Amino acid sequence: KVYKKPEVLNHQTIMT
Amino acid sequence: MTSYKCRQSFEKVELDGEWLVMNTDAYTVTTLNEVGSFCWDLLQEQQTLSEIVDAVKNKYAVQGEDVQHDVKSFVSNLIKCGLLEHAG
Repeated sequence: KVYKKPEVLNHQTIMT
Repeated sequence: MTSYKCRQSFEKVELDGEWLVMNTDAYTVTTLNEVGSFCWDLLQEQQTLSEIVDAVKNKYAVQGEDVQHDVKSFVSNLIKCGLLEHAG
């Protein structure tokens, strides 16, 4: 597996 | 040595190579990439920063100081998102 830096891609509050 | 752990067990689902962590108490969805998801799985148990770094280096056969910096930044973000806490 190829290493990519660990990331939080998105964080959002939802309604659901 | 500071260690970290998930605040509780959250639901996690994969969607198109990304992982969604759902916090049903705070009504948040946090999307992680693949390496982030690997780190997240480790953090179901109490982990120190260096333990996570070593696990990532082993799994992805990567060396260098960048990993340490990357993981530290990732853990900080998870704390900001309310998903992680200091465990000692």
